[in-house]
Amino acid sequence: MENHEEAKTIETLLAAGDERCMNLLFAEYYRDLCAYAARYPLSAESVEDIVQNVFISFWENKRGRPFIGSVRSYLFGAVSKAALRWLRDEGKAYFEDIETHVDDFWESMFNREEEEAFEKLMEKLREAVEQLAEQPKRVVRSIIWEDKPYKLVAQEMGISVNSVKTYYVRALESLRKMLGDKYLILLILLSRKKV
Amino acid sequence: MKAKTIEELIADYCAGTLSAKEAARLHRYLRENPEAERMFRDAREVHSVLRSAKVAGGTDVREAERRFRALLARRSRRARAIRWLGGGVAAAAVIVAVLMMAHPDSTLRQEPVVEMAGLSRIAPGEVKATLSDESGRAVEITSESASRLVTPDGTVLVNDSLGGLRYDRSGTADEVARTQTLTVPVGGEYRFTLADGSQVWVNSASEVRFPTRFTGDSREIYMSGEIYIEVARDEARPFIVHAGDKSVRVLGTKFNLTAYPDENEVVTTLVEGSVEFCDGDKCVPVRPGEQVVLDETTGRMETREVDVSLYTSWASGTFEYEQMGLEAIARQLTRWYDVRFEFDAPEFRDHPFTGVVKRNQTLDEVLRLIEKTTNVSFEIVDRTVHVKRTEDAGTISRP
Repeated sequence: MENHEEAKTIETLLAAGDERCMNLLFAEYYRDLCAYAARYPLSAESVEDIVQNVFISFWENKRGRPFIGSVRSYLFGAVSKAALRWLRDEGKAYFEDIETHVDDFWESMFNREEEEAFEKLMEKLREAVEQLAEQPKRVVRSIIWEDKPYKLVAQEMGISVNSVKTYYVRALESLRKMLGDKYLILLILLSRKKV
Repeated sequence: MKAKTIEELIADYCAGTLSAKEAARLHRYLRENPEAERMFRDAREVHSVLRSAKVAGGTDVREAERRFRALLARRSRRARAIRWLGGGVAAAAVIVAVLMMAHPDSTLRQEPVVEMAGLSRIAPGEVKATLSDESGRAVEITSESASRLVTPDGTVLVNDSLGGLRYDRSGTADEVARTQTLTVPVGGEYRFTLADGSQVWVNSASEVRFPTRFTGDSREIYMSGEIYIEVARDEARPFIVHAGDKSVRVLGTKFNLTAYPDENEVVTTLVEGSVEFCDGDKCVPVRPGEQVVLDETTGRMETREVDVSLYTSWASGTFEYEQMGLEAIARQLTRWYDVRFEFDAPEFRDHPFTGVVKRNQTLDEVLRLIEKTTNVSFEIVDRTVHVKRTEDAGTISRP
């Protein structure tokens, strides 16, 4: 769960309309909220814009009076709503009906208690990426770690854009298989049980 | 042009570059092919985890905080200029744009000075509902209710501060299914989660009757008023929403159903998925982006294509109007602000208004917005809003 001391201080400063509240919010939640928003198909810039806007409206609308409920859950919920609104307004496809089943899993990933599990999952993923064949490995690295668009990756590798996409999705699939169901499902169950 | 492969479509979805047409095609394809849907989910899961890790590692919190401070300073300067609009900048921008189109000379005209004493005190509706069991015993729920709630029939419910009551997380598994009724008064709204995980947004002056657990081959609930619902997918058990002798049958989808006794129409608006709207035995299919309107007096059903956000925006905290008649708007505001409207100038009943209004604004702010783009003035006496032609109102209230 969240750090209680920190949460209390944030609430007190917020109720007093003290701007130091925002320093704490940034230190405590900004990174996690960005990582959380990145689960939606958004560009890196829009992820930060969305979180920034949530912070702005949080500060403008909630300062100067007591906050009811958990600031943390409020912010995660607000980021999720803002991301969905952004996708809708930009006319981007997002299949909420197909993707929602992992909601709880995602929020719980950024809980302090789950940090270790998330780290383990990342470690597993890094190992799995290493085991991919040369071409798909390069595709995954360029797209994820270097944040390159498909077209650029295709140019650099001297293959067609279609091949990049096909390599990429098949690589994701085999990564998922290598991780095995037990990892993701374990985490999902873990997060369900706690509530 | 050659059609894209499933891999290409998924890759484009991940990158956010899928066109609306392709998205619809992919969605349909996934819905029809469990194998493809599984592949999609797998790819999306891994893609999301990788992206999250990358974003978490690449975020410069200090730089972000500097940006935030700069943005905040800029906004507070601007906010002073547009405070009269209330609400957020987005809403303000839309209204301003509409204003300009409707009245290019509006900046030149003198605003009528209308004294609206008492108006600003009428606050918007809020999160509230009453939950009652079969014997009629009731418990009130507000946004400040405790996180665990024991209903009169002894069911222990989880009350999530964001998601409302959650029957899907409440410990009712070993109990018999009970029927409960959630009633939202005028001036209220409420959102909650049914036992199957389906989420229901209940608008003002509306009611939903549902079982605490779904048993049997179908999931059935009963409503009157207006709800927006996101049905959890379960092919084996269709979801049926009854509104009197009308019903909507679905597998998994998002749609809005309006069936207020004081409205002449029953309106079903589909956001996603597919549903069937039935009036008795007469059924018509509804596709995403479509709306079926049943005229209760003639019994006629009409299917039309609409901008679904206009009909579902209330669930996310705004009223969106596009060329909507003032009388229809008045009926909506009546339910949310708990007031009455009187059309002293009846010619304005059908007068169209376009704009976006935030549900957390006071009635005063909302009415002022409407006044800006029309020749209408509002005057309030107790909790009755009188709709007048601007000149009339002006002479009455001018000192």
